[in-house]
Amino acid sequence: MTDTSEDQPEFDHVYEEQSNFVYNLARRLSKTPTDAEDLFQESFLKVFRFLPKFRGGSVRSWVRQIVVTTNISRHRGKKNQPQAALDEHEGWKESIPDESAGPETQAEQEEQKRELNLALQRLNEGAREILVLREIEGLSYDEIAELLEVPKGTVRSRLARAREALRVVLEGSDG
Amino acid sequence: MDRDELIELISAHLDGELDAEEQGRLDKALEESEEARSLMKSYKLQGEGLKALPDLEAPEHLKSQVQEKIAKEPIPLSRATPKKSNTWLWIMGSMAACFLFFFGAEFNQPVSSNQRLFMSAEGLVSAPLVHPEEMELLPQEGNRVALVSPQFSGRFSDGEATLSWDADAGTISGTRVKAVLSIDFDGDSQYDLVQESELLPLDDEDGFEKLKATFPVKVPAGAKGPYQARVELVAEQAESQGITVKFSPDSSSLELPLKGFHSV
Repeated sequence: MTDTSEDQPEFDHVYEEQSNFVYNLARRLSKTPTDAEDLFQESFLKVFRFLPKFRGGSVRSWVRQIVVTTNISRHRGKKNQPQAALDEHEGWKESIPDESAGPETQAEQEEQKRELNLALQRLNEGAREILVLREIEGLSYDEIAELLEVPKGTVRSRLARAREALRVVLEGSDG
Repeated sequence: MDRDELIELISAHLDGELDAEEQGRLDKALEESEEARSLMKSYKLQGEGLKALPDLEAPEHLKSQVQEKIAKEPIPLSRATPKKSNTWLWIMGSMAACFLFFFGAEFNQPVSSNQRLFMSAEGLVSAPLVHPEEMELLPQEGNRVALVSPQFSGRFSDGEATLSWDADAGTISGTRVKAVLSIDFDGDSQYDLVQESELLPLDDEDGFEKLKATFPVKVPAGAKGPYQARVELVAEQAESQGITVKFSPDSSSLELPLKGFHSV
């Protein structure tokens, strides 16, 4: 693709190093695979645009910030769209089995992963986003607060509500 | 302890974010309440499940799609300032490689009033040939975007230029954005006119707002072109999560006091 100056990482290198990370993050943050691919492309376009202004430090953190802020920007505009039909989520299946488990256990694990993914996609964007950042990305409250530009106390309360929302979707019970 | 508080304490406990007093209250609740124990188990299990979701590989076709988008990326991010020929030469180099002569379709077509040009990430075009483009003004990676037109020739007259575009600050309040219009009137690759709009406030409602800025255009004596226009959008401050700006053939335009033009 395109090179940048000697003082900056090359875009090609950043793409090769970060594309799987960005794809996984985009998949977890998005409601559908199509949305995830759009988010992936938009994010890398911004990486390209802003790479000359990258000031050093962790490329992954910088790229994560771009993906998250791009996602925020995208779902702002989609707030009033109707909830996607459930059958739209049918393509949202992971298919990497645990080879060490027996066939029945593998099938069960697959079903659990599928249900968890479906449940995650049924949450609103804010709940899904904060769960992904905490549970999958493993960010601290301070890091999430900085990334989302909200107080730490807001992170704590949003995470609690998101965990409960996910539980309700998974278990079908609001307590 | 009400249920909302219980949920927050359990959630914060799983993240190691409780102080001693809160931990004591949670321990008591866990000892006394079956529901508390059940919620703790559920949150823990679903967290473990999320961490165990398999990693996926980015599909190969995305790489070529990203490449295609980048190939259409002539957007310079430096600010428009007059008489900065080095930057300008770089911009010209980018444009030479990337721009089509959109103005060719209207070659020597006279117009009776202000010419309406449509905005895209590729510059200013004379017909709605482009898809809507959204760009974000990010506080930490650059709070401005700029669009540069191909060179064009024709006749300018004194008057007013009007720029329309869409912008959204999401639910952030107190954010403003301004537009900067620069025009090179004599083809020397230096901007002869730089006009800034006033700062336009954005509301804190979700959804794009239509913004409009007007700029007085006074043509220097003897200006004969070729002309080039540049539009830059600048977010006022670096405290927001970012402002999204959109140039769309449906709603965005730059009307210049042109009486006729063609590409050069």
